[in-house]
Amino acid sequence: MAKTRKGHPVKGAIAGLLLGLSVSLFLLIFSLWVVKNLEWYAIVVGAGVVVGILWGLYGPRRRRKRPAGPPVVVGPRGAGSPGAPPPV
Amino acid sequence: MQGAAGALLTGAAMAWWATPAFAGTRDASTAPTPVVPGVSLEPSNCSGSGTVVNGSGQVLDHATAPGGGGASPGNPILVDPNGVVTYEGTSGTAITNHHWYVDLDGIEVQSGGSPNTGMETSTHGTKKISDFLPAHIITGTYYVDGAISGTGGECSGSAYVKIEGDPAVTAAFGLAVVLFLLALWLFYAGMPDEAEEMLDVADELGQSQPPPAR
Repeated sequence: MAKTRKGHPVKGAIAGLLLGLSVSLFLLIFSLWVVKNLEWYAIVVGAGVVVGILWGLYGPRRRRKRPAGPPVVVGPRGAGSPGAPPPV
Repeated sequence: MQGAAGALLTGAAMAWWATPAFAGTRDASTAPTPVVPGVSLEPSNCSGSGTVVNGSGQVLDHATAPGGGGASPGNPILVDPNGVVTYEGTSGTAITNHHWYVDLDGIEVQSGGSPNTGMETSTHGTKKISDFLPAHIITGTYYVDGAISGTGGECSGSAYVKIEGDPAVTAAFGLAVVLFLLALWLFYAGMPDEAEEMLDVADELGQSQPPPAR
């Protein structure tokens, strides 16, 4: 039962894509980065995708909650119970 | 020729254009910004001018060419989506069987052509900006360029156009916010999981529950 990490590069890539698109839109509508060709914004989007993939692979780990199940019933210790002290 | 001029002016959100190329200057008496060039046109036998009026009827910006330093992102032509633009342009010679186009940030937004059998060398008109750019869609500064070429000559022009307005009330801003929030959620969902293998083994053994604490 070795501890492993399971990455999510696809989710990360999509997250990075959306982040790149949103940042590009912000840059565009606020005139923060004026370019002669919209293709330059592909750099921002591409960088977002790369960051997203790296995040999905090597980002901080998220502890997954264990699935809920029926409660475990533990009987009282007493006669007949395994591990119970012998009757005196 | 008329198509080309109109295209550059309209598609360029009224950057205005004439036919060929120069560098334009702003009218200091009307422009709210310092007198600076806002348009480039080539070659020099082309000329033009344009006036942008906002939705309240006040002159927002005015530019003519040639006569200035050319298109500059720091000195864009101001445009109000609720306003209109009046433009005029001339070319030194008639350009026939021409083709013209207008690019916005490198993307062709309008194009066309005409035989120009009337051998016209000038054009003018007034365009409502909302016919091409509805309000509250987007703001920002964009590079607009275009050209006309055909028998008898060619002209090209460019300008930076700044669409006035509050960015926070545009559809583009709303879209950007939604995309940003989606990205944040996906970044969280895309974090690597820990101890996934432990759970898998537990499932195989039929012990999805942790052992009770003693």
